[in-house]
Amino acid sequence: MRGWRALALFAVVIAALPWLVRNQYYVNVLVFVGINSLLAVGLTLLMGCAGQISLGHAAFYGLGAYASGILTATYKWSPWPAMLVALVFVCAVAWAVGGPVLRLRGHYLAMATLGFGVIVNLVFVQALGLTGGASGLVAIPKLSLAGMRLDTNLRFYYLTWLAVIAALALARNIVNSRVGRALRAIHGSELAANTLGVNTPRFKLQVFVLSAAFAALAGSLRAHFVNFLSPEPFGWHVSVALVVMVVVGGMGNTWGAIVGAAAVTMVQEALRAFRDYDILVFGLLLILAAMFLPGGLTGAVARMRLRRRGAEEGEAA
Amino acid sequence: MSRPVSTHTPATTLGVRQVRKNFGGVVALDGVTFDVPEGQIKAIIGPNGAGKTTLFNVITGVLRNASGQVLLDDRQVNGRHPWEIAALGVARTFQTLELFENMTVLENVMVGYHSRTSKGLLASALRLPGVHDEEQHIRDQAHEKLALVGMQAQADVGAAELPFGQQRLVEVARALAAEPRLLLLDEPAAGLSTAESAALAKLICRVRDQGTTVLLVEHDMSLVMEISDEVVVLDHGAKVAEGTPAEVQRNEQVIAAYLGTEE
Repeated sequence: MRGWRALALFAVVIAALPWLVRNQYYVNVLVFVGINSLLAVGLTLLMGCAGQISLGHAAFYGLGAYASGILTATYKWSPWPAMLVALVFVCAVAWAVGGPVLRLRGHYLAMATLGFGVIVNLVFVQALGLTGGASGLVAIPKLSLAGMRLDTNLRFYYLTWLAVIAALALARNIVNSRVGRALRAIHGSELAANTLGVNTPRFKLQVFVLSAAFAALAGSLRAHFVNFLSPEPFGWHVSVALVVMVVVGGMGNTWGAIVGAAAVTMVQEALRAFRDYDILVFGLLLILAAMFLPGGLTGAVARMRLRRRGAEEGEAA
Repeated sequence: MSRPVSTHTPATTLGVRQVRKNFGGVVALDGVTFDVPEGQIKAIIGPNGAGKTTLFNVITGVLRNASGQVLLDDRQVNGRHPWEIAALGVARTFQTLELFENMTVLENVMVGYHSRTSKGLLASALRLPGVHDEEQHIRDQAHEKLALVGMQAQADVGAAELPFGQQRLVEVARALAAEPRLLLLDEPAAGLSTAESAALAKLICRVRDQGTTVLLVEHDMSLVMEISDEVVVLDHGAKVAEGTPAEVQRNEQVIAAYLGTEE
C-alpha cells in the first residue's frame, strides 16, 4: 500500500509541476522527460528485473513512431486506432526478434540487439517511399481526446504523464507478483529458476515484448507531439542513452527509470550545442555510475536514508 | 529389469535406467541404474568426481543424458525441459548454492511456488481478481516453509547477506515450497554446524514421513547412515554398490573407492 501512496503523491506533483515552472520551453522538455520515462520504465523491467540487456530499444521506439506516423500522415488513419495497430505491430516484431535473440547471454545479447537497432535504423533511412528517408515524414496530425485538440505543450504534457503513471502502476504490479519474482529469479540464477518450474525462455520473451510495447507507445506519442519524424532520434546512440537512464536511475527500481529519464533528458538539453558529443558524456556517466553509484541515484538516496536513520538511532542510544 | 508386481512393493517414484553421460571423452555417468521407491530416503555417496551432481543434473533436465532413461512414476522424463520436470513434482537444491541473491529470503521461497500457481503477466499487471488472494496464500505458505527450517526470523533479509549454512537452509525451504513428490538434496549438510546438521536430519525424515520421496547426495557419512533407507555408491560414474546403510558399509568395493586399495 505504501507504493500506491507514493504513486498518488507522484501524480499530484506531476499535475502541479507545469504551474510551478510556467514556461513553455520547460513544459516541452518535461513532455520529452515523460516519453523517455515510458521507454525507461519498460527497459527497467527487462534489464533491472529480468537482467536481460537490450542495446536496440530505440528500434522499437522508432517502429512505434513510424507506424503511427505513416498510418496517420500517409494513409489518413485516425490517430488512436493507428496507435493501437502500431502497438500490436511492434509487439509482433519484438516477439519475432526476441525468440532467437534472447537465447544469447551477456555481451552476445548486447551485440545482437545493437545490430537489430542499427538494421532498423537503416530501414528508416533507406525506405524512402514509406518513411521519407533522411528528409523525414511530415504532416503527422495532432491528437484529439474527447473533442479537445491536444495542440498545446501543456495538454500533451498531461496525456504523456498519464501514460507514464499508468505504465508505472503496471510495472509495479508486475514486479511484486509471481511473474515479477520469476523475472528476478531469472536474473538471480537462471539455473535455479529453471528447476523451480520457471519457463525461462517464455518469461524472457514476455518481458521483452512488454518493454517493446512501452517503447511503441512512447514512439506514437512522440510522432503526434513533434508531428515530424526523421531517423536520427531512433539511432543506436539513443539506445545507449536509454541504457544510461536505467543504470543512472537505479536498475532495480521503477522509480529509478523516472529519475534516470529526467537526468539524462536534462543533460541532453544542456548539451544541445554539442549534439554529437553527448554520447561521450553518456559513456562517462555510465562508467561513473557503475563505479560509484551501484543501484543508481535512487539506490544512493536509499543508502543515505539508511545511514541517517542509523546515525539517529546511534545518537538516541 | 522389471520387478514382479505385488501389492507389497511400494511404487517406484524415480527410476534411473542405464543412464550414460559424457563430456567429450570423459565418461561422467556410465550406465547407472537404480530405483527410488516411493516414500524412501535414498542416498548417493561416492568420492568427488564420481558423477553425483551430474546425475542430479540429468534427473532434473539441466543436462541431457547420452543414453538410458529417467522415469518419474514410470513416465520417461529425460529429454524434457527442467521446468516441465519441476512441474511434474521434482525439486532440488544445489551443491554450489544457486540462491537468488537479488531477492529477500522470503521472496526466494515464494519463487518455489511458481509451478503450483498460475497467474500470468496480464493478470499480474492489471491486478485482476484472484491475484491478491493467490499472493497472500503464497506469502503465508512461504513463511511456514521458512519456519520449518528455522529461518522465519530472517524472512526479510537479503538472501546474499546470510551466512553459508543458512543459505543452504533457504534453498531447502525453497525446494520444499514446490511441495515436490521427489526432493533432490545436493550436499545439504555442507557448511552446517553439528546442531544444524542434526536439525536437518530430523527435517528430512519429517519431509519423508509426509510422503515426499528424497534422494540425497551427501558426504557427511553419519547423516547418511542415520537417515537413509538405502544407499547407492558411485565411483567414476558407475554404480559400485547398493543396499541398506549397514550392507554398504561392509562392502569392500566401497571401502576401496573411499580409501583406495594397496596395489
